[in-house]
Amino acid sequence: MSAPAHRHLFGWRLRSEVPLPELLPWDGDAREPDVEVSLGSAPGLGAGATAFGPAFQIAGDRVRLSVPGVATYLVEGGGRVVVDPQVDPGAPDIRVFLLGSVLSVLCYKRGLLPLHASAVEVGGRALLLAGESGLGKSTLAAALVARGHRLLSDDVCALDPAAPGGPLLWPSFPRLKLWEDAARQLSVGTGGLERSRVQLHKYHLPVGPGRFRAEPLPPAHVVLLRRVALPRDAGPRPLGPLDGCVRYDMVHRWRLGLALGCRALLFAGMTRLLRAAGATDMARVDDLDGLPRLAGQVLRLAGAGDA
Amino acid sequence: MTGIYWLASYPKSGNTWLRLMVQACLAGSDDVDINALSFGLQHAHHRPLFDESVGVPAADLDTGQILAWRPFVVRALAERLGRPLHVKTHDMRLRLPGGEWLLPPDATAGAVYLVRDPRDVAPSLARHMGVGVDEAIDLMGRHDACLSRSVRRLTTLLPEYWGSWSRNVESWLAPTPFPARVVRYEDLRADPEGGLAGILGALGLAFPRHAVRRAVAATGLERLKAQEAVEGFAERPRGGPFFGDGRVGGWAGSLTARQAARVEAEHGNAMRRLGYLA
Repeated sequence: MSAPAHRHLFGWRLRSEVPLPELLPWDGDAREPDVEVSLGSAPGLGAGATAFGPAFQIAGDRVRLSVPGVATYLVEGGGRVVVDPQVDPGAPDIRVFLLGSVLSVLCYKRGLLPLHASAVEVGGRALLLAGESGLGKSTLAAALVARGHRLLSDDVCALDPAAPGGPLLWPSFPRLKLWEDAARQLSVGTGGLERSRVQLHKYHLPVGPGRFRAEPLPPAHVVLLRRVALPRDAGPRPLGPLDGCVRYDMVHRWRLGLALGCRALLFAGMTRLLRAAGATDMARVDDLDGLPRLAGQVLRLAGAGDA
Repeated sequence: MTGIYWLASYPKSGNTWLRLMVQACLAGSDDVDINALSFGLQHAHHRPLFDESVGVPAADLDTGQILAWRPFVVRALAERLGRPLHVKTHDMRLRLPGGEWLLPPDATAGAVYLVRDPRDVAPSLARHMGVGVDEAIDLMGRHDACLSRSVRRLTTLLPEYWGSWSRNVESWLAPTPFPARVVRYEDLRADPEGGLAGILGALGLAFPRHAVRRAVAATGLERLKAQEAVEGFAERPRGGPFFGDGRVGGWAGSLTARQAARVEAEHGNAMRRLGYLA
């Protein structure tokens, strides 16, 4: 096995024995790693543990996620993850959950609020495209990157609500996840692209160096995507801070966050985000053809001309 | 009292019509808005509910794992609400590899199962799926049919495990894992007021006779079709009209003799149990 690599993630120095090729190499200071990811065994947390759903156990500062047929992940505090793989440690399947739900746990443990959003840079600030899975966050982000806006993150964003100059969004890594139908709509060939899981036609699309923003940004606007069935119900509606504060669908794994005892972080994070940035509820029908128009709409919400 | 009341059926067996009738009872109005149908939604197949309750998104899991974790989601749904909830499903009562039931009895308050002559289901299903009648009959015969799934795109609802028409029906006729009131669509069409009154009881609901009569009048198929023609139907945004003519025995004019014989051969046992075949 190759030596552990030092990588960049949400401003952390992350040292990992699990190959994470999509993460940028660490080029910051000589600090000790903030997060260590190692391979090892991840035994059950015992009878005193609390179950969260069928897959998670929580005991003190330890959180264990078990995905049958893939791996077990043990998070200790906010600085250590042990991965016990049931498949090749280099398989993308391992990273799907490590860079998804496990990443969310790390954020909660480290005082960052994980947002269920993709983000791009618009005029020196971050435009967030938030909402539940399947609403087109990644597809819309890909369309905006194709228009020249730099990507900050796809699917999960980390908000530092307590940053000195106001809330900041930290970038993740230069990659987009696209389902085959969305890739086709964006004229992205999927030949040669890695699949997120072997049995799914969901592809990892690398984003080139000039198209990724590697430094944190203050938020410009939050667009909360929501699906409706009929065109008569579609359209944008401004969300005030009070309406927005109950829209947990902008938070990644919010029930898990509550189970981890992070109610205060959730509330403070959403409040500060919505105080710093405007928010819009964007109801839309499931229509990839409407993508160019939607891209123009969200850019205007973020204060851009029809870029 | 908590728990889920299932409104179950194989697709195209009158489930939506039944939901609209109950909705009309609840609304107590002479009109029903098909696009405001909120009674008996498919909560158990709601993707965000799964993602947030499990903490792992279904989008990253294969169908077997999603089905394995669905009983947990159903329980979470039943417990969280603290009052009974009516939920539509086309699932058969499937026993999962670990021994769990896909629809767990401990989270269930009751169930109604609507069943319709499979010879009438076939042409309706063909129209609904935008396929030929023979393909619809293929699907009805597929032992492990599981819908709303694609490996190429993310669908709104989680996978539904239909099984074949016979498997679906027989799983609901069986006494385990919980009792279900089985109602023939044909009987409900013949006497909607009487049928609906019995169904309401099995769903833990009660309305006076005049409210039931009013609801039946408000949900005549011609009215539903007329409304869909003008406004569309939110549960069927694309691909042609949802509401058909709902005729009993319409198959005699729409199936070929060979197609009818095929349905009878493949599903004869269950059809005889329900009186559809002598």
